[in-house]
Formats: sequence, C-alpha cells, structure tokens
Amino acid sequence: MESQNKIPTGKVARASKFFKAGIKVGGNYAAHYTKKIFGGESEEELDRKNAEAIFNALSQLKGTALKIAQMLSVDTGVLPKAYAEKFAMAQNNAMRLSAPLVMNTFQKYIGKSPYELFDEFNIDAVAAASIGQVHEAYKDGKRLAVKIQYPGVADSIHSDINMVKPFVTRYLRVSPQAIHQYAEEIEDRLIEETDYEKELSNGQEAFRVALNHPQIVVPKYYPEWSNHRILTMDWIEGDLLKDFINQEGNQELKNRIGQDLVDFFWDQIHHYKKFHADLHPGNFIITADQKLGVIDFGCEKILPEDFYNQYFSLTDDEILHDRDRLRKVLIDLDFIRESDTPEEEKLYWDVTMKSIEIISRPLKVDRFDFGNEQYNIDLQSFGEELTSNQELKGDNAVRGSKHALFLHRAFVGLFTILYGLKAQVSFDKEFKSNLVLV
Amino acid sequence: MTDKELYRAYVKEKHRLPKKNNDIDQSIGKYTSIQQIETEIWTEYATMTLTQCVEDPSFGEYIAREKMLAYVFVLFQNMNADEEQIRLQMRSTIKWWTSPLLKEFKAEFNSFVKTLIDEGQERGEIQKRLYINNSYPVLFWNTLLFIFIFWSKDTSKHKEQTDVAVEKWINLLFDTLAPNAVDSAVDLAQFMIKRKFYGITK
Repeated sequence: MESQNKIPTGKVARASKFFKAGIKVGGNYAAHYTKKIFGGESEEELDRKNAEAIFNALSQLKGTALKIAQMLSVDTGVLPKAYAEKFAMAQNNAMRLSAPLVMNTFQKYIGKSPYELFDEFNIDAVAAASIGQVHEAYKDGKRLAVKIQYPGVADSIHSDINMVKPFVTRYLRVSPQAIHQYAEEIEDRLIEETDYEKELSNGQEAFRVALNHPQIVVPKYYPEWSNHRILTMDWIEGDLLKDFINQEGNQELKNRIGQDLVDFFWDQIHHYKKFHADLHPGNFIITADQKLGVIDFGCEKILPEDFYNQYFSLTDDEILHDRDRLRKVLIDLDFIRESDTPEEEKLYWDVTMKSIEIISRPLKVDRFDFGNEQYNIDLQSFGEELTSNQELKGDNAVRGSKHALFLHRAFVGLFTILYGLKAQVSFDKEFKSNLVLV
Repeated sequence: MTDKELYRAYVKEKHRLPKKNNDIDQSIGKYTSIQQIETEIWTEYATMTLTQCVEDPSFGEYIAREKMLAYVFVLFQNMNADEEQIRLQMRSTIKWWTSPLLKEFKAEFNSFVKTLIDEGQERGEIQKRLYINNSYPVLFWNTLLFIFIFWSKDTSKHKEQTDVAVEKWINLLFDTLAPNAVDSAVDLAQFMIKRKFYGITK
C-alpha cells in the first residue's frame, strides 16, 4: 500500500492509459459488429485496429511496465510480431538520468564519484535500456561499460505487473487466477533483473562457461566497481548481431556464429541447467575477430531438476512411443490435466504433440537449415492455428508449467536469431545420455 | 565528543530528542543550549553541502538546473545519517519549517539560491519576470520543503524514491521558471499596449 501511495499521479495516469485502450478495443468491437451486420470490415482489419490501439497505449509506458507489457503481449501473441520491433524502439525513449543523479548514485552506493573510480568517465549515457543506462569509462587503458539503474525501478515492478495484468486478462478473456503463476514468474525474473549483484554473479558464471567455448566472448565483470545498482564490465567492441544479420552474404560465417550460439545455449541448459533467457539480437555482438560476444546476463532462468528431466524426456523416442509414460509426463508438465474430459484430453494432447514435433524438429536431425522457409511457415501457421482455435479459449486453455515460460521464450528467441542468420546448425545430442527419463 | 556528537548519540540510543542539557551531558550547560546545538547541526548541513558541491570538479560545468539537482542530492545524502533525529524534530516542533531551528540553514540556502538564480538568468535558463522576480527564492524554498516531507515519509530502500522525486520537483521548478508561452504572451501584450492595440502610432 505504502509504495503505491508514493507516486500516485504516475500510477493513475498510467492506469488511465490502459483504460483508454480498453475502451478503444471495446469500441472497435462494437463498430466491427455493426459493420458486420451490414457487411463490411473483416476480422483482420479488426485485429489490426485493436493491435494498434493496444500498441499505442502500451508504448507510452516506461521502464518495467513496458517490458512486462512486451512479454505478456508479444510473447503470448496478443500483439502481432510486427509490433515487437516498434516496442523495442519505444524503449529507447525511456527516461534519462541527469548528470547529478548519476553522480549521486555513485556516491550513494560506492561512496566515490565516477571520476575518482575511473581514469575517464563519460557522464552522457551512450545507450538507454528499459531499466537503466550505459556509460562509457576507461581504467588503466581498458574500455569499460558501466550500467546504472534508474532509481525506483525495483519498487515499481509489483505495481506495474498488477497494472498490466487486468488488461491482458480482459484481452485474452481469462480470469486473473489463470495467469497468476505466469505473472508471478515474470515478476520473479524482473526483480532478479533489477539486482545487478545477481547479474554480476550470473555474468561471472557465464564467463567460466565461455572458457569451454573459444568462439564466445563474455565480458569480464568488476565487483569492485559494481553493486546492486551499478554494474561495471569490459566493453565488447564490435557490431551488434542485429546489424550483422542484415548484412548480405558470408553464409559460412553466419553458420558458424549460429552454431556457436547454439553450443553455448545448449551447454548452459544441459550442463548448468541455467540459461540466458533474454535471447534477442541486441544482446549479442560480433567482435572484430569474428567471435560472438554475449552481454546482459540479467535475465537467467534456473531449471529445476524435475522439470528439466520431464521436459527433455519429450525429445526421447522411447517416451514418445510409450503412451502411459508420456501421459504421466504431460500431466506433470500441466499440458493435460486429470480433470480433463476425454474430449479435452484429446484436444490438448494433440495440440501438445504438435508443438513438441515442431519445436523439436531442429533437434532431431544431424544438421538443420534455418534458411528453410518451410519450417518458418509451419511455425507461423501453427501459431495462427493456436490463436484462431475457438476451443482453446478461456481459463482451461491456459496451461503448462511456469518453468516452461522462459524456456520457450529463449527457444523462440534462439530460433528467431537462427532464422535471421539463415544458419545451418546442429544441436548436440549428447545431453540425452545424462537425462533421467521419467 | 563534541556537543553535536553527544546530541546524535543520545538520539541513536534513546530514540527521542534530548530536552535539557543535562540529558546529554552535565558539563555543556554553561556555554550552550540544546536549541543552539540543533541550529548548528542544521547550519552545518548547508555549509557542508555547499563545500562538497564546489569541491566536485564537474559542478562548475553544470547549468543552473543541474547545480540545483546536485545541491539537493548532496544535501539529502548529508541528512540521511540523521534521519531519525530530523524526523523527531519535524514531529515535535510546531510549524517546523518556520521555526528558529531552520533560520540559519534557510539563510545559507537562500544565499546559494540567489547566486543560482542570477546565473540562470544570465544564461537565459531562468526568465526575469516583473513583480514576481523577487519571490523566486520562495519557490526554491517551498520546493525544498516538499522534498523534505517526501523524504521524511520515504520508506524505500536507500531512499531511492526520493531521488526520483528530487528530479521531478527540480525539473518542474526550472520548467516553470524557464521562458515559456506566458512570457511571450506578456511580451506581445506589452507591445500591443504600447502601440495602442492597432499599431498606428509609431
């Protein structure tokens, strides 16, 4: 209660933005049905108008609210993919810390000014993100990236989630209870993301994992110039993966970069059961010597042992062909439920098996070509099938272990990058020997 | 221990303000009073803050808005250690913001603000306005009081919410003082009046 009273104007103003979007969506439906009676507007046009109304409301948000809206709407398919990039642009309009506040943050948390800590410090931020901004610094000839978090971000996550939640539930037409555990999962991850000390230890761990991957560069982190609001690491020189993807040609290098990414991600998942859950092209850098730089370890997901074994059992042919064992795994993972009627069980069984088939297709073959258009078409049409299937509506259709949320998010991110690279890659099958089948 | 240290130690231990000199030490009564110690602590916040600001090499390069931000951030950093005692004073003093306790602190603050306003007006950051120009320091003081109240109620970790509030209050203050549409309207009105509205007199 206390924290909500602190910034009342902001909260009311932001909530009213959602309210406006809600009215607009409602209005669009009303207009749509009137038009429908007289024969007019198509479903598509309605979806486009709604998406626009939602996007306009959401993109005016800042910081975490924007991020949550992004996760809940883009990742769950409420908004079409085309808006994902616009969202990323909206992020750049995030707040900027004034120079005195940057100084204050250093004094408060490290007890020294940045000019005392570093040989050189650029008080103007070089990049802004949803929860902080990046400054450039030099120490002993080394170029450093110093991330500073906006004050009050961590405090507002909970109220931001609660603000976005009703909006999403109304759009998906489900009850708040149905998405409760997922919202909780997102909140947990976001709160971790605001703890730079956590990110520092994640980054140091990833640095050690990368030692086994000579083609991967993870920045060195500096605890002596970091704490939970300030994070200092080596500056990785190079081009953003985003720009590299758009460059024509050099397929061989693209294949190799794709393969490096797959190997690193796979190693994190299967050996460390902890992975970088924010796989988007902005978090990767192609260095001058053509290595893959990985930055931003703020969002890491730890896979519980049970969940890991259940989930990856679904890649095993022995399980897939044993109906009883398969049924138990699907129940454990909450894809089907004991309470389902036989018809419901069949429906969700089929949907689940289809998604398993599609997601694991690249994992099954020796070498998979993400340049293959057919795979992308299959993925898209399956997605459309899921959203348009009228039987998959309401609370009952909200399913799956909450641990799968960020794993799927990472898979989608990984596949999107690989598709962008048109890379031919192979997923190591070795992990199966350590898998404890259920 | 100095008188001020004794005062602080007392509040830390008892969680209340000392009333009589005897409360903190038998021997200090001869040449000072509790009120005097309190006033001195407050004056010290202002003098310390100004010294720290001026010592920071980047302070000189700041525009007036940034100087004000820096001053307030440093001020609250200095006050954070005494939070409990300041809160107790605010609660136990009637109209604490006008009490003699703050008199010297306010004078110090005002002299800083006056130089800042002059500088801001020279650079065009702050608009000179007829009649109300002299009450600008009052606006600065009131802004500071609002932040005080916010700060005293801020329960967030490391008073992070106060940092946000400081940025917002100071930005509002400087946006209000910056040349804006009202100034252009006044300027236009003056012009029209001089020309008797239809601009036919030369």
